[in-house]
Amino acid sequence: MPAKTDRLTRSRMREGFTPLIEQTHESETTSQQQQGTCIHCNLPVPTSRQTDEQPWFCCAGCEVAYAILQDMDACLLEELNNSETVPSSDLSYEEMDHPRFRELYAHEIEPGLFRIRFHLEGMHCASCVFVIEKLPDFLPGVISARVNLTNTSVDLIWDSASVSLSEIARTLDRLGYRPHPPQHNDAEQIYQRENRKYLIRLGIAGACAGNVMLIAFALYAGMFTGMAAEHLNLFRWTSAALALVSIVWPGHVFFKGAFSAIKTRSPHIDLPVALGITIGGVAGLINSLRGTGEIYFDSLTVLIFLLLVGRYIQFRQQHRALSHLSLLKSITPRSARLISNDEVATVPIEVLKAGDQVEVRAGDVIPADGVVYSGDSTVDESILTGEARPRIIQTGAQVTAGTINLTSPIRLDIECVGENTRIGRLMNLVELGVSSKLPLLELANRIAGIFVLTVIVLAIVCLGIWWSSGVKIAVSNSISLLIVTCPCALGLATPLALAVAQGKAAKRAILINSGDVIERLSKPGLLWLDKTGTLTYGKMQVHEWHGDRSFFPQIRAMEQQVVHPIASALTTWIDQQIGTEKQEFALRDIDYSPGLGIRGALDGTQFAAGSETYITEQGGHVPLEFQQKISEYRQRGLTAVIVVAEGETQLVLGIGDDLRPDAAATIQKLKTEGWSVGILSGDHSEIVTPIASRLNIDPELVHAAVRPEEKLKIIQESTRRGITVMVGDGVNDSAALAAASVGIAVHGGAEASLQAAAVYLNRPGLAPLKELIDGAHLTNHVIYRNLLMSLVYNVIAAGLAIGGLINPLIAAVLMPISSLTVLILSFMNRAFQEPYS
Amino acid sequence: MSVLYIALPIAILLALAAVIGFVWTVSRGQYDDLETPAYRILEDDQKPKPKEER
Repeated sequence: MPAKTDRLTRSRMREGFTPLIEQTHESETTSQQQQGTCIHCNLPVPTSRQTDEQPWFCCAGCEVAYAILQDMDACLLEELNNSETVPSSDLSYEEMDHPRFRELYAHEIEPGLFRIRFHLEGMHCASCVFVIEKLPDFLPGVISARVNLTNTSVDLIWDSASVSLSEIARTLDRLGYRPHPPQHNDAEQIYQRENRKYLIRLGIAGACAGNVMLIAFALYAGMFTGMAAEHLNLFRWTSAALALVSIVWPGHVFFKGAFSAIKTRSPHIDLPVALGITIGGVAGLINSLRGTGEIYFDSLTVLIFLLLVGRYIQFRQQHRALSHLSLLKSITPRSARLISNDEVATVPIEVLKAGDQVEVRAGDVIPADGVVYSGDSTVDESILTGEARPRIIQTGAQVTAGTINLTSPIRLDIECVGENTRIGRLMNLVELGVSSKLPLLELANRIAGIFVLTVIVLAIVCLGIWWSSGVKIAVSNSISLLIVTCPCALGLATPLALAVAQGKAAKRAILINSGDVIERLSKPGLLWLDKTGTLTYGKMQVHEWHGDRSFFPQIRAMEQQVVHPIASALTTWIDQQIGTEKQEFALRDIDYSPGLGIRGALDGTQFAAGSETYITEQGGHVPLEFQQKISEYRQRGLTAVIVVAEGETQLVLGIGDDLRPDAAATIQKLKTEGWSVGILSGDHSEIVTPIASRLNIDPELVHAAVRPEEKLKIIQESTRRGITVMVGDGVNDSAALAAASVGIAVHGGAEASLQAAAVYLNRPGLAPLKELIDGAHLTNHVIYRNLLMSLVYNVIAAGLAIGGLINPLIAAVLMPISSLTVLILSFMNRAFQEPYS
Repeated sequence: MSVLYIALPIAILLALAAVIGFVWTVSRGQYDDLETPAYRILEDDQKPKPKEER
């Protein structure tokens, strides 16, 4: 770091450069945090990168690119090579050199030359592309590096003889882009193929529509000025040919949809479209043959094009939030420390099998389910159970993949790996929940069904009414009816209004995965909230204390010896309280009982800190005054830590996870709107109940100490009864999030929960939840208004057509007007607008 | 008069060429990543020369 900073300062001085550090940036997402913009690209700087030293950079790429632009030294490459940008982790990536890893993920293009795709974290701007694609210049052995910003991946080709894969991975990590191996998941490829198909269809439909429209202009002009019959025929046959292409190629999707609608006997919007296209096409063809009358090819091709545009918007929206890492892999570590012949080697996790023995160091994630055969420790199982307090484990205890070993190294006999682990099964439930969720029959589709039948019946009625006036008039009026009641507006209304709302919501940091969320949130239902991380901050904090504060430094010195959420809450809080007056003590005989307490001698005085039972076990005396405080803390859902010196209680501290400030107000508002609000938490009821009563939540709707599988069951049950919304953040919530009618993941959640949820609130607190529900309300109003408008239009138009008051030409002119109205109304949606301040 | 018989096919052929071009670019994956190329163009071509050889 010093070398780099020196270089930056040096170059700044040389250029007479004034840093723009004072400049602030109005960013919605970081409004609460300190503001700052990247000196290189002007993007907001994440708090994690706001160091003491100025200038700030939004990413390592900008930092390096800035350095390069500031002084184009000859020794640039060397500097890049030795540059020590913020190491994002101290991972060794050793496991990537294991032959099995290469076999699984890399692809040999020539002997010794391999190709691999990595997903990179933290890549988001031009400088990132710049730096990563320079990789071959300063890391010999890398042949090429091609970045794809859209899915934040890099394609690498490297020469295995001159550089190891772990070296490349370490370099990427050192530059600030943590690499992840690719997943064996076809979803992305399927999406890509579908996307290309959609684009090709759109392109062809657009080209046909454009050209037919041009010809139509000539034909319309010819109506007024007169046109030679041979030219008229030429134009007609050309547009007939173009329309045929458009119907057969891009238009076949509607016929496919219509066929399956007939097969399943469920009216679908494709049915009237296909019918309209057929009738219009046949009528146009007949009129072209006859040489007189209307051809409808212009309206037909434009209709196909517009409907495809609407569908493409919908398709893109559905896939926008597609994430790049598989659920299981984001939770379990990528490598494990395998014990073989008393030697410990880092291997990729894919190598592990049941019966193997592994070592898990303190602070590491446990790679597989198994039984501890040596070592005592505590594990943080909050990812699985939601329980904030760590569990004590000893020899013989079962441990689960994905949980974190907190205090000391343990050795395991592996029982299950990968998908067979508890977390693997849970993730399978998530994926099942995501894929098996029955899509609600959208309002537009329901209306369209009725609409189709009505239009068909009306067309037949119309034919019958006018039959006596001659076949020609009867057919002409029926065709006018079918054209003027084109379901174009109906088809476009919903997806467009949803797309506009989703776009606006994204600007307010509310990411909505699929449009039907908005429809489902239109009416109040049952809202389940997770406690840890959703209602609370998900972090232990000291709330209150009682006693003698002069013992703070002693507590700090003692608690520093332990890795435990309560201990770290205590040390950070005391650091804030006592500031600089830290003292050093001679520590002796420190004894730690995991999950209970700690004791030891500090400068000769015997101290102990821990739970009430622990203190009494140690022979400590807790006077009545302190006992009252302890029970008071317990009632409020706080954990009491008692500190004794030489057997006498000196201090009690109440530690707990604090409620988010906007939780109570948001829940109150939602309840007045008719939502029932409940809590689903993995935490103990003695922690959950006080919080529920502070939030005025009906005790019948409070479930404490529920395992993820039970959460899923509760959600499934209430989904059967009506709209169920689940709000959560942890992995333990993800199956429930996927099963709920609407799963909402909150800011700071685990990756698995983000993927399982339909909505991601990327702002801390619960206020965005209210905004989402309000926005859904407004958007639904827009959709209803759109549908109403097009229905009213259709009723009037159909009346006119049946009355024989409009001919097919006027019908073709009227048709797009309804679509235009819907377009304009959709864009006038006021949902998710920034509140006036 | 009969210029239409030449002009119209030419117009259609041009449109066809554009469509073929579009389909070709789509199937080559040129629209898969719409972000990176815009940034890549900003890079300098001249690579700083390594000290020896090459």
